[in-house]
Amino acid sequence: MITRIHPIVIGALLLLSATVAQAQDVPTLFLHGFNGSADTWAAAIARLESQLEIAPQSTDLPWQQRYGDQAAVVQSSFRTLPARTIVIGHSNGGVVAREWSRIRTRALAGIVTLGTPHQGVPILKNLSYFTFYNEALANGINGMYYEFSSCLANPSEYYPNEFFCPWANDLYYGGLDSALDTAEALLASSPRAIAETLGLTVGAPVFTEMMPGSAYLTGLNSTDTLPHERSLVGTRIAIVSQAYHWDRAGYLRLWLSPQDADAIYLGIQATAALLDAVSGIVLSHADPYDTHATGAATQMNFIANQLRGADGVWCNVVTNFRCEPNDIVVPESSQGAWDDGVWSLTISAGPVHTREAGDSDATIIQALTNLLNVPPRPASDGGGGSGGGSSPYVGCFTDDGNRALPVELGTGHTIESCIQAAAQSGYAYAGLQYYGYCFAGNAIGYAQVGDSECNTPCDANSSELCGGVWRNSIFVTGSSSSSPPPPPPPPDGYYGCYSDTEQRALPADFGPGYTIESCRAVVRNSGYAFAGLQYGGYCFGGSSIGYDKLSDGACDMPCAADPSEICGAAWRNSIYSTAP
Amino acid sequence: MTVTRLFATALALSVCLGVAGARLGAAAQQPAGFPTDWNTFSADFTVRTQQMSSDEGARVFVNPGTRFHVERSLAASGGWKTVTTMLGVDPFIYDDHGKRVEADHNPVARIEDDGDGSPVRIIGKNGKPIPLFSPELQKQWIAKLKDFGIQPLSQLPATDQSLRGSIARPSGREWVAELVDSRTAAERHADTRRRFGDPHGQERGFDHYMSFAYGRRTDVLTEPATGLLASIDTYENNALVMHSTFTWVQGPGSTFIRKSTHTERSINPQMRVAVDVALSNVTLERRTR
Repeated sequence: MITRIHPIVIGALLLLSATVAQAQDVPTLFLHGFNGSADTWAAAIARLESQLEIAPQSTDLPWQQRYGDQAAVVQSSFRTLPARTIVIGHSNGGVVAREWSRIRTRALAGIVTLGTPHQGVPILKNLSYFTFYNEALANGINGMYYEFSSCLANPSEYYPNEFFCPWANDLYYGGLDSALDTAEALLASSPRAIAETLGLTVGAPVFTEMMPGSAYLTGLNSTDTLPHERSLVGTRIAIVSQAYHWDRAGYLRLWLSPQDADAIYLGIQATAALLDAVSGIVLSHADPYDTHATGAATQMNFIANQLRGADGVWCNVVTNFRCEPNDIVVPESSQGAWDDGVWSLTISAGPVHTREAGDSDATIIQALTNLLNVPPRPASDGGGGSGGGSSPYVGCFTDDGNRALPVELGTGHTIESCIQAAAQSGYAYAGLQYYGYCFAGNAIGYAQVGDSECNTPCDANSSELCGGVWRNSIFVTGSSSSSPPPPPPPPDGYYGCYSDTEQRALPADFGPGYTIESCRAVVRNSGYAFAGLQYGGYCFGGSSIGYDKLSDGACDMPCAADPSEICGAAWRNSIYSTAP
Repeated sequence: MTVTRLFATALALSVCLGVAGARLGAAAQQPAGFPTDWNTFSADFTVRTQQMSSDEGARVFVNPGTRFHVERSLAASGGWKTVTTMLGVDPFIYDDHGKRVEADHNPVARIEDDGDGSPVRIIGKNGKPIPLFSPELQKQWIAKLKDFGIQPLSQLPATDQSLRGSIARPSGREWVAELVDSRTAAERHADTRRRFGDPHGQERGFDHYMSFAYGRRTDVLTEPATGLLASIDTYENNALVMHSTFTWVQGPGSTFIRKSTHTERSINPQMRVAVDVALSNVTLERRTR
């Protein structure tokens, strides 16, 4: 059930939600970002609530107001939420969550930020640069159009040579008209379109606070403030989102077609090549005295150059001229951990910024289950009021030879038969791949990608999709025996020595050469709860301990990188908690 | 520095002539040294582009070179089929901070134009056609353009589909005269006078012609001995908006083959683009199909 809280009816709705949600469900408050509303999270909340024992809350924030004012609204509505509450904030909602923790008197179990600009939004101060680029492109397009339209409308008047105008006529309707529309679509990615998409209303009070280096952000991240935040928030997690092909066609994906990165990119490159080729032919073939032909050709070349350079311009605008990974709006460095002890989970090949709240389920689940100990909701539980109609589908994920879901359950499966087989084997997740190969495991594994990459129909039921080439369609099995909450870590973080097999107990393989601490760190950064060291320093990560516990003496190989430490043995894992 | 001064500097540096020889008449359209019944033209092109800030001369984007092989062949339909094969795209461009930006993502192998008015085909390196954009995406974009109050240029009256095919398509070989000039010096001088009238005098050793038409002033310099075109400057509202220079090389027989074209054009008061097109391996041949 989605509980939307508005300040006026806060008391009644809190009471209602308390009666619907089950007692053990973890209160989880979802805060939206710029230009959003409580609806921004609605679909994701429905899915997450069906899979996790959470009691979700959300609200409409006055997102144009200063962070302090937004946090005051949250405080007014949710001051009574208990200390085991988790807050998940997308984009600016993450900053609001942190601001709320400053004014709230009770503790919070955790804050999870997603695509949040902890260090500000460079695009705000660089839009003028994009404007300059955009205006030049507009001039080029208008110039090319002028030359073509002059030719097409008055061929005999302007062109003594018989080459350019007829050829232009053919070419224009044979592809250049599309090229012009393409360039024009790029042009329409004007600061105005971008601003409208992002809700960058001129004069919004929060603007000054969102600027990189603003007094507000400096204060939020200062050593005067952070100790208080640390003391009140149990676990802090920054989900860093890198959009799929973050360096490609960002401006167009943002406001036009977020899911079409490859098609847009390919089309733009093809358009540039076409314009270049035509330009070269016209400049060499046309009557040199035909200044319209020469003018059109140079404008074509200019537009081609602008098209090729557009990705670089946008990347610079977004990242303050560093061109680092980003989610098309916020650079990775701004989204990342803002303090020591903040966990960082990275989504690679993820959605664009404006889609993050709806398309990041897997990583949010990873954060909540592995790092905040939120239990999965048993299948028989009606999802806390969601009606049981929610899909168990988690998303499309990459795989490789070191299987993300280590247990193979054969081929020829349908979605239903694979979920059933995985559930019967006691695993939390089922993965279908390449026409019906079925895998099972307790961790989702690798990177989430667009659903379109899971595109092979199931051989056993062609109306269903069963993953793709090295792509798993991942489903929650709902097995009540699966994914038990991880046992509390022992004081020294060491769980013991455990057996392993070729079906790795900890499926994420980080390679050899690790010490205990370096392995724990790398596994922690990947969002897993358990790190395993094996055979002198091979490092593995996973969300469950796996196989049989052995005596500590069974793990007796010194770590190659630090012989004073023990790093498992052959087919033996020394298993540690990844908690800091 | 003004745009005009920059262009003038470029002209002083780029004029490159000094070739001479006898020519065939343009009307013959059969350059000496080539088969008279040639049906295939081919050449290699290199296109280099620079965008420069007009006020400081700073480079904005530089595309060091895109290389093509172009082949135009007479089709059975009487039109000229053009196949442009991409030979390579230099791997880097530079942004205005001087940073190299990787650009060699060119997915195009060749571009085919049947010369009969049908859409051009863009073929990818994998041998499959590349649509510029899917009709669905195009439709979506056009709708979005209209949302923002922008009229898609392809739908404006001056270029809409109703004009398609309204201009006769050339089927002769006359176009090759712009690349392979077979005329005599006297014929070139006569042609220039027909277009511009008598020369206004000499400038830097070249014959200087001028014309005014349709709001544009055109200044032309030709090489006195050969009559070959050296440069064209175009002014609008008394401002130099485009400047082109040409170089030629001696071809087979008494022909001159265009070697390169350098064109600078003002995009707006702050920016101009310079395009260099270099030709090599120009051939005219008879091929059996």
